[in-house]
Amino acid sequence: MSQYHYLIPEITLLTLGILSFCYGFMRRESKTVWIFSFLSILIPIILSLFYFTENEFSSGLIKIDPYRQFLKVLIYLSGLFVLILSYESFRKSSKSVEYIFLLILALCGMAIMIFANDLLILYLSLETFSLSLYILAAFYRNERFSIEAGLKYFILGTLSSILLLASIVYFYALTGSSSYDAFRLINRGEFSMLIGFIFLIASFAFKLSLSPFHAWAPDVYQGAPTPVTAFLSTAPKVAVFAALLNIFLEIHSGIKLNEFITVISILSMFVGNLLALRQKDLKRMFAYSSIAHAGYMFMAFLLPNHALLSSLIPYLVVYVFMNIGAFAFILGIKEGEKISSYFGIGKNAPLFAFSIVAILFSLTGIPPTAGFMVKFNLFKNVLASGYGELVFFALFMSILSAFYYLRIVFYIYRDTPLFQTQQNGRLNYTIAFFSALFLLTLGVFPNLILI
Amino acid sequence: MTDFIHPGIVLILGAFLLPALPKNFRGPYSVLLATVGFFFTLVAEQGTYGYMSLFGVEISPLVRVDKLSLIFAYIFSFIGLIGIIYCYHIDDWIQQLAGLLYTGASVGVSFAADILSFYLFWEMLSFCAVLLIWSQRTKEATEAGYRYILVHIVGGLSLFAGVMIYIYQTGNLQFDSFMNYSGELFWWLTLIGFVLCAAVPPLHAWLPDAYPSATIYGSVFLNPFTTKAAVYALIRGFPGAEVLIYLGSVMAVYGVIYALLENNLRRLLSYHIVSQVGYMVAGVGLGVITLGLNGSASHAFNHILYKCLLFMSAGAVIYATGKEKMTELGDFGRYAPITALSFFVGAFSIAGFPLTNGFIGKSPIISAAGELKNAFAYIMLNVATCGTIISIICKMGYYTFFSSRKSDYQVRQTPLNMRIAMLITSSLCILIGIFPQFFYYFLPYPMNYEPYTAQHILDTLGIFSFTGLVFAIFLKILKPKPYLNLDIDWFYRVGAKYSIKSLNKTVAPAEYEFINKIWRWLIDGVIIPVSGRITAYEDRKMNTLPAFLSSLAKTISDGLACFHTGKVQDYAFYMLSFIGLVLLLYLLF
Amino acid sequence: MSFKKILYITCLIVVILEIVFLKLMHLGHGYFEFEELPAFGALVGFWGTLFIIIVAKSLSKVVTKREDYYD
Repeated sequence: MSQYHYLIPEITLLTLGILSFCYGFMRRESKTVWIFSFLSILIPIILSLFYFTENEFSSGLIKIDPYRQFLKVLIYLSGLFVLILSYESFRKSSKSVEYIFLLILALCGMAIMIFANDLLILYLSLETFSLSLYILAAFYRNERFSIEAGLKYFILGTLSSILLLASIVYFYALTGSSSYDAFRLINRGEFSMLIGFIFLIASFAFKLSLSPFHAWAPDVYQGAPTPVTAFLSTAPKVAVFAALLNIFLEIHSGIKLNEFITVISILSMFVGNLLALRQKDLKRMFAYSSIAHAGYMFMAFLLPNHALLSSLIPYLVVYVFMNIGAFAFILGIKEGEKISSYFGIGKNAPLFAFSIVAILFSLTGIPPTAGFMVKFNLFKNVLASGYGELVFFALFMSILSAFYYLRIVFYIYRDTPLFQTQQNGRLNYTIAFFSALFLLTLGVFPNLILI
Repeated sequence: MTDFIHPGIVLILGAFLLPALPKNFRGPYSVLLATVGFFFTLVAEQGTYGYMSLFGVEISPLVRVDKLSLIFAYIFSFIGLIGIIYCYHIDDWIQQLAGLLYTGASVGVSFAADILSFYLFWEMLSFCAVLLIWSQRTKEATEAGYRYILVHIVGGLSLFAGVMIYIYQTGNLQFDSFMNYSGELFWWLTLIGFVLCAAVPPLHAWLPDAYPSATIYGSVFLNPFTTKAAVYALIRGFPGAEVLIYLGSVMAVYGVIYALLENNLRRLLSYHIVSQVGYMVAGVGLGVITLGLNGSASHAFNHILYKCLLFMSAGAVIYATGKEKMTELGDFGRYAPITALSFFVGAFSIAGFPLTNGFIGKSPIISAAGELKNAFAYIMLNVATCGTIISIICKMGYYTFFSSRKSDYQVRQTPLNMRIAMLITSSLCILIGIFPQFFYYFLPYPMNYEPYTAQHILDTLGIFSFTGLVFAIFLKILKPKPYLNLDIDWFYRVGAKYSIKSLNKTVAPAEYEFINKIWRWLIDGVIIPVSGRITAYEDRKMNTLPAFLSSLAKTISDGLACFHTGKVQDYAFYMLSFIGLVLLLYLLF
Repeated sequence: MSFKKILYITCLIVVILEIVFLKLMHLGHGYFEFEELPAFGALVGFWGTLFIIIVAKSLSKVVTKREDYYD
């Protein structure tokens, strides 16, 4: 029974989510449902905080330790912020109850995915949240792009699920077990082992939108409703990175996949940054930017265990807040995905403009923001492990990224006296401001996050 | 750090919230914050806390709470609270913010264990003081603020140099007694830095220059902190430095002499700060026995109470009438009995009348002078008492609150919060005076001292009555006159004027006639053509690089974009073919 | 009774008290020999104040200026 004791936050999340769904389904009264669902995410976060002090717990199927708890809380937080961001867009929608429930279901799946200690649990949880996400991506059923996004995501996602299943089958055939613990037993040189890993990484790379498994991302990000895009670009990435992290920590730096990882991250950085340059739609641009960031983060898997943890986890935290902030400001003004909407914000709403600038600086990696600190930390660690050329390439690509991020800043501070910025929701403003504040604070006091 | 919450940090961080609050909440919030700060000081337990590593240097501990720092922290945070109550009604958040910061910084000074954080808080003091001076928003105040900051920069630099040499020579970051290094260069530099802030002549002129220029609330905040923080620093760093005995004794008399000549209420009180701090400085110098150090600490504590009381009642007079010259006041006691009462409680305290806290505060210092057989200090400090009585009780008290009305002033009712602040402080002055032993328990060193001896009381009464007698005799001569008294600041106020004039005559023509011409020739003839050449070269050769890079990026990006057809089957094809390619490569190699 | 008269009488009482308690009954002890003078407090009060007034007045000849001196 003891594993249920450890899963109380997740069980609470699910129960409260179902309860608020039932309530909302019967009453169809919008505001209360939002508050209920807000609470049903907030309460598990608070509950999880009590588990931080506890030691490791491990059973056959799940495993819990402090860093998994931490990443889970990060996912819940991003879910909470996305919920707040969605309020303006879905408040008047008749399907807001269903939207929220799918969001909570996806969160639950991701949490289980982080805790998984068995490939089958991993698969089940992956499917749980993927299915919710497919529906969420196609949530505007009357819009062609949204439907197209959902379908693309669904079909390609199925393909990646098949790859994952194939890798599970391989591992099972080789070790006779589907538990992560079996990774320790593997014979490292074996080719069939390698196939299993390549399939596994390929299927994860799809979820992380790493090149060349990225092609769905821009279309889906553009087509999906903007709050859903914010969700897609944060929470699933954390979950999948966490699962990959768990697996890599079990392997103990055994397998020789370094070339594979290097190629994938180089491709991702290259494609992400270069194609982001030509985008006019901000959502699409952020899709490519998230491909590039995933590429940076994927470099961390070249590192030995300790360095891997200490460079990936801070990056994930900062990445989540950067992206939440970015989508908060896209949602904060009318037609925020068009770059021309940013004319003259510097005059009309200086504080908002300041938050945007801080977030964009952080995305680019300019001090004194947290984005710089974590990027610096990651590059330093990779350099220390002897991948000088890779770091040089990543640095070059980061410089390139300044062009498309800072283009928005130029628009913000350009003089256009006749242009009136149309605001869209104070909540989004507040979220953008707070994530900017958070990024600046971490940039000035990096010791808070760099372990 | 969980068992200790630094009240200074609480005050400083909390103060920055103040401007964000709506207007009506600022007063209550600042009172609340000051109360919280005072509370955290009260519950602070002795010990050392905190740790920090900076550029590879380990600094530990950061915070030191012992009896010496506690007594100063108590009074600093308490007087901050009183000051905040006093300015509760004003609609100027800059002053409240600066007051809270000032309080926090001085608590920080008294708790700082390492010399770097001490220096940081120390510099913050001058910054807050200048804010308070400038918030008077007159031309005089602005100029006085600039003079204040210039003088304090000099002192701060001297202190900084001293501190840096100290760290370099000893490798020690702790702020402890410097007396083992007596006579070294950094000893002198640090001493000068401290002594300047303690307003020891001839480095004192900033004080009577700046404090009367601040707002009436500002001067309540200004008078306790900087000089008494300097006294704390002296007690901590230079106990028993003999030079301080003579500086302090001379300073005590110097202050009252100038005070006697003054006409402006707050300028008179400012000179009294100089005089009273003189006692404390002398006490530090007499610190080879702990009685002297105890005396300094106790005098600082009590001095802050009655001096703030005096400044508050002077402020109340100025608030009520708008006048601050004795030649324009007179007969004010009739209109504001509470103000008059508080003033006389403060005045008798500062003069050291028995049953007030001034008496029990400074007697240990005078007794220490006696025990060390230092007749000079003993006589000078007693003479300074005479001067204090005649200038503050007799002159200021008589010509402000009694005497005849000298100009036609309007009287405004003082706000309730000002009166509350004054009454709390007056009752404390009396209470401490009646129960000295309870107060002595908090002093930094254990001490068995009884201020109320027959000899002491009778001597004091003798001094009081005969000073009154002399005043009665010289009443005509001592009548305040509307004049200004020059002080050391003449050198830098007038000196600066003349030096600028002489520079205008000598350096400026040379500059314009000679250097400027050469310079112009250099710029026009050499630099501009050469840089033009360089730019042209750069345009030709270097600009191609970014253009090339951007066109390259565009080409590649165009090429890559072809792959994004938007068709699912293509995407699936990329994925599968990549996996196939990788597998193939692994199989081959 | 005028203010001045009260003052004179107070001074007289204090001097008497000082002599009675300190000189005749030996209730106190000074740190220095010069404190053994009769009515030492009164002497300090008188001469000290006089000293200060004289110094201040002679100093004011040098330092006292009109109020617009610096302008």
